[in-house]
Amino acid sequence: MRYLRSRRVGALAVLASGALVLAACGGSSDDNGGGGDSKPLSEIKVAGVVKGLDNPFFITIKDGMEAAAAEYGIQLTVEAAPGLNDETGQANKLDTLAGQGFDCFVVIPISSNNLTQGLGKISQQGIPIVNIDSPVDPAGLEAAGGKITAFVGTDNTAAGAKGGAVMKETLGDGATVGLVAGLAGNVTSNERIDGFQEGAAGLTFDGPVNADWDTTKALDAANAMLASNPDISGFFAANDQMAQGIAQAVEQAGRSDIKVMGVDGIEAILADIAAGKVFASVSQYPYVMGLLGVQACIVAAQGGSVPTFVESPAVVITPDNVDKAIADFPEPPEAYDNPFAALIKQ
Amino acid sequence: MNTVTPDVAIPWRVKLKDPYFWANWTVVAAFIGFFTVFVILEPDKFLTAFNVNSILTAAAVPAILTLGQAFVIMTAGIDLSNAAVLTLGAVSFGVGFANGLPLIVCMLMAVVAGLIAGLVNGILVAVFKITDFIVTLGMLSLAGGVALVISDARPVQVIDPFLARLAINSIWVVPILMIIALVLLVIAQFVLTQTRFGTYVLATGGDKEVARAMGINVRRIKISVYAISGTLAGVAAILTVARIGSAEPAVNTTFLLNSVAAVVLGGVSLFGGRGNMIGPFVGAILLMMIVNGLTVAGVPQYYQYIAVGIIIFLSAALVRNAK
Repeated sequence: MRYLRSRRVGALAVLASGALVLAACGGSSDDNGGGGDSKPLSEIKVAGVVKGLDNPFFITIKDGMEAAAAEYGIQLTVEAAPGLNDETGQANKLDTLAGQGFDCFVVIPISSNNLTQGLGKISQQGIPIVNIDSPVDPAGLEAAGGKITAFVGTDNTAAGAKGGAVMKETLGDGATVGLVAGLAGNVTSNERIDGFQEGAAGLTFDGPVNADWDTTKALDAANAMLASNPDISGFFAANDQMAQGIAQAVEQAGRSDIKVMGVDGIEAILADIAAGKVFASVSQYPYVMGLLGVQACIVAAQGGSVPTFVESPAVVITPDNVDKAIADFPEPPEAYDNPFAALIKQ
Repeated sequence: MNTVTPDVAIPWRVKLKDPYFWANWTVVAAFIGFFTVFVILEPDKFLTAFNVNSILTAAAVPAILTLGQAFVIMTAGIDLSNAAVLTLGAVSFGVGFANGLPLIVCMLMAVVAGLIAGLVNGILVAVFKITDFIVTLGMLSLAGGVALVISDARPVQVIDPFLARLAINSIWVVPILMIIALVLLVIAQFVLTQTRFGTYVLATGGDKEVARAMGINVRRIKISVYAISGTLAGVAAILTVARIGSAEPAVNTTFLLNSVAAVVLGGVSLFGGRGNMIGPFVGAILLMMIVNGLTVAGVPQYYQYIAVGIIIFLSAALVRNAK
């Protein structure tokens, strides 16, 4: 029994020292809280709460946010949901940051309502909020006393429709396209799939089959769809990771004639397009979204008036423009509007 | 039954040598340890009313799920379906709300959905003698699937002034959500320690054969604990809908992992027969406090996963020692 107890004490010691090490490696940030409109750039503190960092899309958004922070010399803290699907975990992160004296928040909610209560608390402290990528539901936000200063993002339905139009043009009327969706019930996935079907009206659709945003599950789904429906001549996946899985299934089936399209524009998909493994991706430029979001936050933190809605670029990358897309990455291959940069006081 | 002996008459020296005593108090020691570390590291940020409120808000739902999980684990069972049953409850609430039913009916729908799922778990485990693990794993998939079907896989917005007040308001630094959890804790602890049912729960977990020989209806106790866990998941669903402002159809498995970790951290033996409700409850708050504290201290996201993983390993190691 004594043996057992000493091991337990040992475990406790490990626990305590582990906590110290972990806490120490994060270091403590300077605290220079408080408001004030005409702060110098170096004193502006921006907090970002994004979706799970287990998806390259959100990592790229974070890269864009960090690039903007470095360019203007502001302080930036980015926290993510513990998982792509952890709505309450993300709300907890926002609540935690809400009391830490930040000058502005950049948020991407997992669902249209999961951050609403926390955003209400932030608005009541008079702190501006910039919403990027996925919109917060306005009715719920109003009920919680919250206010969004600016929205930066692409319309997922419109992005899906853009891809659908290109697919239709490529395959011609009457062709069959397999649809592979993300997590069942996910709004972004639904909008992209719905938009694609609108844009590609006139084609025949098989699915959508949910593959939970996952490469392997998409590979399995595509295999099943190819087996049951040999007429399929194209695939549309609600994100690029799933498109990569589908491309693998298509390759293994020896059906390289099948056109695979994804959405997001992650870096790896561009190489796949250049190599002819994937046909296209509706690229949403998450890097630009993150960049614009932080710039909007800087304008708001300086007390400037911020444009309330800014559409970030969405470009369909095909073999025709993939070389330029790779050269310009993470910026898009086409020029886009940036209304914020000019408003920032140096 | 040795483990439920009242500790009044036992002198401290004897108590300190008892590994069960240490299993019970580990969570409190860990709580105080982490709390102290965070206060020292971030004196201006961690111990603010706002931040304490954030931690308690975050902990309310996991703490309620943990109470149900604790009842099940005390009978040497496990409920792997609680997060999915929560989702089923939330979606049931959402369907009622979307059809314009009164709020109280929507709430009842959530609780009843949880109760039914729990009863099915309990009957399959106790009457059909299927391993708890498999039954509740099946229910994890089944409840998640039913939730997707009845919601058509789409979230239902739930905007209601009463629920919004429930989610936002606090008494001093304690959010209403946590007060509800505390009330449930008091009831659960009372049931466990002051009623015959509670004694039977621990006896069932301790040694089923002995319990049967003593005339305890083991089957009924087993069904009851799964029903309690399901019902509490239904209650937690209402609080989640209030907090999130919508009924979401996707299952959040973090809740499941946290509930098992909190119960184990709280000194309940995974082999049943021993434990109280306060330990797991503190464990649930501790897990939320750790994530909050690391965030406040600016520890990057990825290290936070590692920290929580280490805590779960350590808590499991402690329980293994205690048996």
